[in-house]
Amino acid sequence: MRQKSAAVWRILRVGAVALALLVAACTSDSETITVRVDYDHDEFATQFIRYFPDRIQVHPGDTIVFMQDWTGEAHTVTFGTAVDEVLAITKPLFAEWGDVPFDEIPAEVLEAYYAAECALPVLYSECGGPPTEETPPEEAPAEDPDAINQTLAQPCVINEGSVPDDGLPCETRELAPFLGTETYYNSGFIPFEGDGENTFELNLSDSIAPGEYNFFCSVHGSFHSGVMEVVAPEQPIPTPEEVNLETREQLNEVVEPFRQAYAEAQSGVFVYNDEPFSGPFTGLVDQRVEGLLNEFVPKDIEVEVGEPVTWVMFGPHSISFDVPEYFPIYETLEDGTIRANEDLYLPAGGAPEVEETDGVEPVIVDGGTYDGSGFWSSGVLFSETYVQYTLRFSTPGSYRVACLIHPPMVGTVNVTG
Amino acid sequence: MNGQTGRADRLRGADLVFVIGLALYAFGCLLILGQGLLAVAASASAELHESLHVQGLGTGFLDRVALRAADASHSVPSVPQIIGDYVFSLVHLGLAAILLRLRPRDWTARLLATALVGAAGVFNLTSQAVLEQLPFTGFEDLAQVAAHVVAGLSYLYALLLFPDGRPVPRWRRPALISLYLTATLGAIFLSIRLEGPARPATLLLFFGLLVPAAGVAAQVYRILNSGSVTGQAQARLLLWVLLPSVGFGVIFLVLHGLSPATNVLAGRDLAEPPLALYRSFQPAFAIIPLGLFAGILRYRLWDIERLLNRTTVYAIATGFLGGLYVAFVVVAQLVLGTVAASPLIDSKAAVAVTTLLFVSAFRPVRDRVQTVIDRRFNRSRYDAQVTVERFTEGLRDEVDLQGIVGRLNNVLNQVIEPRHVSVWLNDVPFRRAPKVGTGAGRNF
Repeated sequence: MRQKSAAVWRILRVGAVALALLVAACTSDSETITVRVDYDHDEFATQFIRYFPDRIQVHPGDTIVFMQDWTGEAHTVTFGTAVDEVLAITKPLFAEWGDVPFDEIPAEVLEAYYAAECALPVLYSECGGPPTEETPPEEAPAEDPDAINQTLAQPCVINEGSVPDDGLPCETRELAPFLGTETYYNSGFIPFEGDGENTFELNLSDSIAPGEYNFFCSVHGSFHSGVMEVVAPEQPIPTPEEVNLETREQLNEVVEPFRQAYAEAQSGVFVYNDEPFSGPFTGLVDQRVEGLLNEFVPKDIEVEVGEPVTWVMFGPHSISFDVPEYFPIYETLEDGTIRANEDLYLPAGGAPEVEETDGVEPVIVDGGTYDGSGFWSSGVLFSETYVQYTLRFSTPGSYRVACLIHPPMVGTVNVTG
Repeated sequence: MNGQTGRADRLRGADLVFVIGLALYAFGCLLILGQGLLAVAASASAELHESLHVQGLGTGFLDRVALRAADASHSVPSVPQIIGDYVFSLVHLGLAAILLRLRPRDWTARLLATALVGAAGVFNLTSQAVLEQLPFTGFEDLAQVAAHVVAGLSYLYALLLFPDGRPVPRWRRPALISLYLTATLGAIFLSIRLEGPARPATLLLFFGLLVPAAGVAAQVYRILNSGSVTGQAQARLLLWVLLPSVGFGVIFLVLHGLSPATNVLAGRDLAEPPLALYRSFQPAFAIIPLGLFAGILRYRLWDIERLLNRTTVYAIATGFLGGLYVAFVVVAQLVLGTVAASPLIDSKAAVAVTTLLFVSAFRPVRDRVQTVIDRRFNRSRYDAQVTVERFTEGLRDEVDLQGIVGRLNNVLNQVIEPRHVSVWLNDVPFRRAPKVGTGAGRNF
């Protein structure tokens, strides 16, 4: 009996040691500093054109993980002396004019701003933008309307000289540890690997000189920027936990206007630019936040056959039914070329074409009637103000409505006879 | 001798592998259940929710656990559903522990216990909803598939072996091994082939249908081929237990098809978990272990009455003494004032003496409870004691050897109901007391 008991204890001890080893292996956390590029909030789906935190302190030789929640938007992390030069001009302009309504900013300020920013490849800026058939970017090969500037979309290192404006892939696309002296050091689009696994690891050279290094997103320009301060090895820097705390504080601050907007929209009326709107809503915005709230509000709608539903849309979204498997707004070809998925923007299933607008005035669209069968999409619609999209349903049923570019945006339309 | 030693070593090695494997599996299961409780706690505490979010900004394993719990805290099920989930899991874990206590070296019991541990984790929607808050890493994905496969196959084989450990169909060993191996590899292959975020729910549906269906087929086979009435009755009981599960699965498929089993829409996360799937299969799978234990009780398999008896006795004895202690404290409080101010309660010596008193009282109380339990509920054992006592007393008046042997035979039959009773009488000049044994000699 005693022998049996001893054997059981021996087995339990070995089991306990194995468990302890497993737990130790699982809990060993690296001392890596993480910077969030964009963030999908847990209370409602969001998209932020911000780095969290937007200022970090590091030592030479450190690794910084730039982690991107996939909200539907592409981002890059771009360093270099050229970026420092751009931000040296644009950041003071931000500081002075950031709180002034856009149409009240003097033309010369905007001109100075865009002149600085356009020195580098930036996707969404007055000097460029998503290519269309009507306005193909000079740098894009003419035969491929979906091509986008490969200098910014692919990894790129330019050690000296100016950044080429040909839009072609750089000669050096292997990212060696960052020295701090490069003219241009670009992650390219952080590769899409799924909802939460998109990362870019920045390895700092041991020989990087102490000082401040600016970085920005080549997709969104100076709006989306941050500062990395390299300090001497003997100088203390915040721990990863302290960095995380700072990240959370910045997030809480920036999300608050969205929280208010979401609560307001859920009550049925949302005020934007002093104008009240009645739901349902497709996405929400707030002027105080560089970002979007990507939700159908309310998520579930009840309508009768033939009864019109009018969604008020803030931000670029689509109203789509029987959607295909999710695909991001860009695709990477085998040779590394990045192409825009323009299919997202096209109406499908009999939805009407929407005429080009100046992008500022409201867009009012009658989408017609959805018969409940097959893929149907309004295409991605956008206006700086808002879009009103009206649709009817001819067949009773429960239909999932989704936005093609924002994966968390899914709702339900229940149609009764 | 060497051969026996080698066999014993092999057994110990298998035991060790099983214990470590089950410990890891149970650890994973408890981790999953813990995540669910963490989410529930975070839903009630804004401070905890915020702490979890800060922790969740890291990239380590525990950071992901924290982030999942924080994210899931916004969509925890209702209180009755949470209670239902955890009662289900606790009952399963408890039954697994009882099985291992009853039959620690029996592979049918081990398989069933493993299946129950797995079911405790995979059928708990509160916990599973937490897991699905984030996409799985490679390791998490592998662990998730392994958890379902281990639970599903253990359940499957336990039902094929229960209760006698003899697998069905009664084929020759090579044919049987081929069949089981093919089924195992097929199930593993299909499980791995499933991809994407809908996999956990699909695996649940897959094994939720496969396990009871295979179990029903096995019991029908047993009923048709078992020579014993008891064996047929056991198989029939298990069949009735499994049929609702099959019925639930078929009704679910007819009503919902496969789509409600997922919480994704073409690669997009849906806010709602696959509620219909869990709420359909959870009660169905709650019936199976309860039915199995009903069968174990009904047919007194695996010495269940011993365990129940001991559990009852220890529970009552502990409860009685615990109650007495509480009563003592309350009375002391009433008599001497508040507990904190009470010189009696504050006195270390008094505490030590009181504890010793209650500890020393445990054994007599337990024996007394045992007697009462035996008299009230375990009548045969109580009657056996009384019978043996009467026999011992009667020996004083009996002088005829044949009479003594006859009375002994009667007593043994009443008390332990042996198949054979043999008595050796040492035929020497000195008449010694008769020796009583079993298994050889004269057969009455």
